Amino acid sequence: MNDLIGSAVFCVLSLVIIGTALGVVMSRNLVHSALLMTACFIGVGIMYISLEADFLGAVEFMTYSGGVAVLIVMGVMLTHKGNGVPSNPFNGRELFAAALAVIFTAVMGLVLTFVQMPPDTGFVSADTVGDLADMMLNTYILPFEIAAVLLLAALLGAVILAKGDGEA
Amino acid sequence: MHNGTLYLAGESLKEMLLPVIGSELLVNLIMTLICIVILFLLVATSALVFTLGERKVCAWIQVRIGPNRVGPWGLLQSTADMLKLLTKEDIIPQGIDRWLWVLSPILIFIPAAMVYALYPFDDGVIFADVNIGLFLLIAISSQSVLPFLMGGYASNSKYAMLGGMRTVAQMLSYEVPMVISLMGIIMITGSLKMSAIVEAQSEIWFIFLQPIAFFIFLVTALVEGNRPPFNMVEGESEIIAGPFTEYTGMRWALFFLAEFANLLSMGILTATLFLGGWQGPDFLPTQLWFWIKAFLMVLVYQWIGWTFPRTRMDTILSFGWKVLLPLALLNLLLTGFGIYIFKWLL
Repeated sequence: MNDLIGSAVFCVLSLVIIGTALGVVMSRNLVHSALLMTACFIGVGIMYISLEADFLGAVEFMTYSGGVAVLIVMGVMLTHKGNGVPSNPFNGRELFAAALAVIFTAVMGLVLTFVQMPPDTGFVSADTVGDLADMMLNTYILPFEIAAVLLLAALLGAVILAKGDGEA
Repeated sequence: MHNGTLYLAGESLKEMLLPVIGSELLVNLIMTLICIVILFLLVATSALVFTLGERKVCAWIQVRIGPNRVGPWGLLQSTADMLKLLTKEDIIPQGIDRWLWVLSPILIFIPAAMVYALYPFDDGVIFADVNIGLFLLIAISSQSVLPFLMGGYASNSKYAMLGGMRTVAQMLSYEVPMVISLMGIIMITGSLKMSAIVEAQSEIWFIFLQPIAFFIFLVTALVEGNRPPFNMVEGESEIIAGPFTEYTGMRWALFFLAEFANLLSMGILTATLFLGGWQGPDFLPTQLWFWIKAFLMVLVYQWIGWTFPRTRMDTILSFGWKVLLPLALLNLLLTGFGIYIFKWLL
């Protein structure tokens, strides 16, 4: 019963994710593309939660949806609308893209058939948040801090770029 | 075990249903459906109560009488408003982005209603007491930014667009200090679970342990909930009604349904995080304490809203980044030191 519900949820979510992802590529309107991307991210977040990675799912909701909102604002500011020109036009490289997609699918198929997957132990930590926090702030504190310093540098760089050298 | 009045009522209902239906799975399913219906009724009722309550409180604070024509003391005003909105012409402006425009008021209601699943209403009464409770709550409520922007963009109107842009600017900026200020609570509790946060306040409420966080939360909740004096998104005197400008009738009402659901949400959240949730002295049932605190906080939010004049967009943004964010970080640091000193004293 639970297995059935689980696979049903997985199938519906996959359809939603693939459908919205296709929409992102196919839509001629930049804002539609960006909004469909949010839908896709929300689908991925729910998928994470259904696979019992609840913290990761919530992070997906929080960061990506906010990021997309900023992206849309940028898109609206940078593109004209209402003058008939599609803001997200196709670029005529369909053949190249199709070839790439076929190669990618072939590689994924090979991986799925030939690589030995680790056995499913069925074990999911009851306290994913605590374990993640323990890993990030104890075991892997150095990479975590390096990433933090990198992000801080990027943030400062963005401020300098936006305000100009003299003002900042 | 839990012994809240609401929890006991639910349990006894379950026991009554079990012999009638037979299968435990089916009973659980029915109980879940009942819970969902109750939560939706709660959201709908909050809108009904607050359409009148908001105007009455506003009038009371500004020494006016407020609505008093429909029914005794104007009590039927909400019903009259609803009938008026239902019978209004549904104007669909030209040149809009049809799909986004139609979806925006519907989508805006979803996160506003979904967060109710994560509130502990009474001892043991919480729809989804998940491990990442508070974080999931913030993540879900942060989804309400995009529908505003969708409505603003799709309306193809300058005022709506400006309102949509303002939403993104203010809601995203104030999410940062809000999350960091709530981190203090999480550090003291040691868990993100909503029920654990309430239980951690059985000795002392977090408003006394985290006064700075309470202040920051008060301001950021007002901004996130689009309440005056920070309702820049609507800003009637500047941009008419922001993203709602081009909507009429029931579509417009849906925006306000979400807004009033958010208002009650803010009250419940503040009461839960800082005022001990459903806990209180024994002479009143826990359920009553919960609603007293929640409505008191709603009243506080309305009081602030109708007392101060609306701020300016640039001032609230610089206040958020330059005052609230450093203050929240300072609070985080102080909480860390405090926890260490407390452990050392023990």
